[in-house]
Amino acid sequence: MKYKNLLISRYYLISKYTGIIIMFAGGAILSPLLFLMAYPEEAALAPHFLLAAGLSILAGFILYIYGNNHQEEDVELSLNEGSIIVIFSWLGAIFFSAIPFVTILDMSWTNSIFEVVSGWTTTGLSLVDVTTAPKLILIWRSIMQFFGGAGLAVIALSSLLPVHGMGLYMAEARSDKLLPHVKRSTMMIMKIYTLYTVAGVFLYYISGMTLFDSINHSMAAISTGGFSTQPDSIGHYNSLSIEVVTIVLMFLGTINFATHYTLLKGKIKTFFKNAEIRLMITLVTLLTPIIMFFSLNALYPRLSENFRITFFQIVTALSTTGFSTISFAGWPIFANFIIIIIMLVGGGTGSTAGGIKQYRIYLIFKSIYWEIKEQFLPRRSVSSNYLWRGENKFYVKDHHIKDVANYIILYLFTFFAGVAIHTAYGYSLLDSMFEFGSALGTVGLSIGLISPEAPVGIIWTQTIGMFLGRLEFFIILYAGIKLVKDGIYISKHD
Amino acid sequence: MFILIVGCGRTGSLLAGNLSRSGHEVVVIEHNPESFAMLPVDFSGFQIEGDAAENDILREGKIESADLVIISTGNDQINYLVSQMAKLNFDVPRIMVRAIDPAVEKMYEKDERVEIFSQISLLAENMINKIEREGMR
Amino acid sequence: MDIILVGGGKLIYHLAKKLISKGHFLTIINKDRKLAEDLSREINATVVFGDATNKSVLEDAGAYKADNLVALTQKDHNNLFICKMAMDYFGVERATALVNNPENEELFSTLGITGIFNITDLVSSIIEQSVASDDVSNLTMIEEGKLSIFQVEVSPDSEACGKEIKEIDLPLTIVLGGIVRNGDITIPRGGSKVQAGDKIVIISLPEEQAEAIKVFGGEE
Repeated sequence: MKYKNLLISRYYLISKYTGIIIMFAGGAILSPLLFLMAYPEEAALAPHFLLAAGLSILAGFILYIYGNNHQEEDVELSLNEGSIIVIFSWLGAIFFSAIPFVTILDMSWTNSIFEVVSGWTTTGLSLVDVTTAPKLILIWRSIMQFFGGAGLAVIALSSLLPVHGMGLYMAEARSDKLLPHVKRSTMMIMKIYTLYTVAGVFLYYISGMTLFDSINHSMAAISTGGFSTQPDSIGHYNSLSIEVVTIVLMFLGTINFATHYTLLKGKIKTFFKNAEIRLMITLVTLLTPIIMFFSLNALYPRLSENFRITFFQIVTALSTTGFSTISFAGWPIFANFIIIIIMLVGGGTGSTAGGIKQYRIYLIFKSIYWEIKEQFLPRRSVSSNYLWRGENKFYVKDHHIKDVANYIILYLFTFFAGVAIHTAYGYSLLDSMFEFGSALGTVGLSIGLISPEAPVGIIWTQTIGMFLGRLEFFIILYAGIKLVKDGIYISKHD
Repeated sequence: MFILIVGCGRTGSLLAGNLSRSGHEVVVIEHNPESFAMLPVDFSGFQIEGDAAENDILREGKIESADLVIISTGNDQINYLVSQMAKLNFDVPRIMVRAIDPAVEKMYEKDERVEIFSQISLLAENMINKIEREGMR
Repeated sequence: MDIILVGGGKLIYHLAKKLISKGHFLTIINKDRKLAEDLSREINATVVFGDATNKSVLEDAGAYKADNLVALTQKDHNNLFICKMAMDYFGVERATALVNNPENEELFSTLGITGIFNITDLVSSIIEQSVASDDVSNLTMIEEGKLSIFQVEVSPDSEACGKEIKEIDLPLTIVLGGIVRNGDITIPRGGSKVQAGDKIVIISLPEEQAEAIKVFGGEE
């Protein structure tokens, strides 16, 4: 009997926190309306946003009141409770965010949900015609990416809202602690994140973008989202300075926040010892010339052009941003295949990026290296293998490697399942791998497969892929299983 | 406040959990990694594995930024050494030490910088007060 | 002299024998029952079985009457604690602590422990001596490197070989601490003769080290 009460008590807390976050999402839906000051001609669209925001705030409020009024005891939030909160608040945010797309752009629910999932997960694949879309819609997409990049849980924890708990933080795929208290840590993340975004706006503006475009692109770059106000992405501007700014912002977005904190504190040597930084530098330095000389020199005979294009595309794929300066449909198979692999590797853990994440790839390869190394040490020797994480040495134990290996296998399994579905619809293997790898890794580069006319099944496969990739699979499973188990328990013990 | 807690046994982990929940920044140093499992799930501070009687480990625990150090291992002698290190090597503003054997209280008698919490004495005093107030039955 | 020895493991056995042979009165405190019993059989001293961090054990062992206490346990924090208690509450005049962590030397000293065996530094300099492949080995530095104590092996073709000390042309500011020949050490006098293979212990300023090495070790 006591356990049932404990469970119910936990669900009141879950309801309360989920309510708070959904209300916050409702507030976010209102934020594009600030831009009416600059674009008063779109005032007619305001009611759509107000409706969506209103419904979201109402739903959130109901959940909050329900949870708050019934909650008696003080309960701790473990990862399991955090998972449920994260899943439901994301689902709620997604649902309400889609409303403006349905009502203003007359898009189907399938396509609208695809678009907003692409926003919140910072993917960047789009079914919207940006040439005809109203400014409010465009800025709303970028705002979704801005908030999604930080993470709904992180924003909630860092704010004045009465939300607490490591369980919540970890559920949203954040693991590193910048400071020894979750509220301070998340506040620091928001400070760094906002600072970079503002700097990005400034840099884009002085490189020649309009203010509106600067704001949109900076938010999309730092969040490694990739939504653009132009149909041909960054390539539209054909500007070296804009591309350089974009590359800088993409790097910033894909670096783990704890590593950022190390750099901002001035510890440059430690920064460069960091596993992910090293992997990123290695991959980019190795792959750029390989792609340039083995594949693209036929397409771009001029060396400077070849380098400029190759480097940009590699960085956008690795950081999982999704801005592009060319069309991948015209690229040779080898180059596209390398891009697919880079998209699978992905960006840094605990950053805004997606993919398997560099830390995991680095760890697995290091683990293979250690295995080989140990073969040549004395049989009875004891080793303490470590790598650098944030500011400290992290001593790697077997179970860490097991967890990482499990994740990689699960990721690849999902990848192949999604690719299979795509090929079943008739798409080529390379196109399927490219497009689904882009969705699963929340990258956003497209080889041309996705469009508003694409089959509904394909659109949903990619939507689910984006969601799984951003939330890193496991918490979705944990939340689902826990709900089922708890539901059965509660109903059996009435 | 930034609080460094030395020792993550039953006492240390309880202190760490409560203080972290109250909003303080907490770092815990403990030499046995399995003891960290005693921390509550929502503990959001740092955990440092190592021997707290080493200056380097204390520095890793950010003792230089600490407003308060609470020393609560299960060993009076280690507690004493670390309290002196905190005082003399790092000049921590406030130092609280747990003592188990009441006889140890004398070691801290002349030490103004270190606040001692002698668990057996406190417990006995508490119980005796209660008994005397409520009378013997 | 009444000395209390605490801890020390097997080392205690021989140490105690040696001290007793020199005429000291010893009391040994040890918390290993078996070791305590063995000691009591072999050694002519009072052996107390107990944990010396416990005040009543120290009192029982006669700490009030002791002139010296040496804490040789393996844990620095226990040695610190025992010595502090001995000095502050039992009035033992000289308390010496074995220190494993060199960083603790300064701390213990600040806390008033007058005698400190920095065993790490001691053993490491002995090891360095024994692995030194050169004819010169640095023994120790005093006062953060202001004074250097080192040892040079006399080379057969050096200018000092075969001569008496007073005949060798040495800088005035160096002091010859000893001559080690076949494991025996003698303190050099003006008339001491230097042979090839002798090891000369020299105390000098670091700047003079090179000169002294040249004289005894021959030209490089």
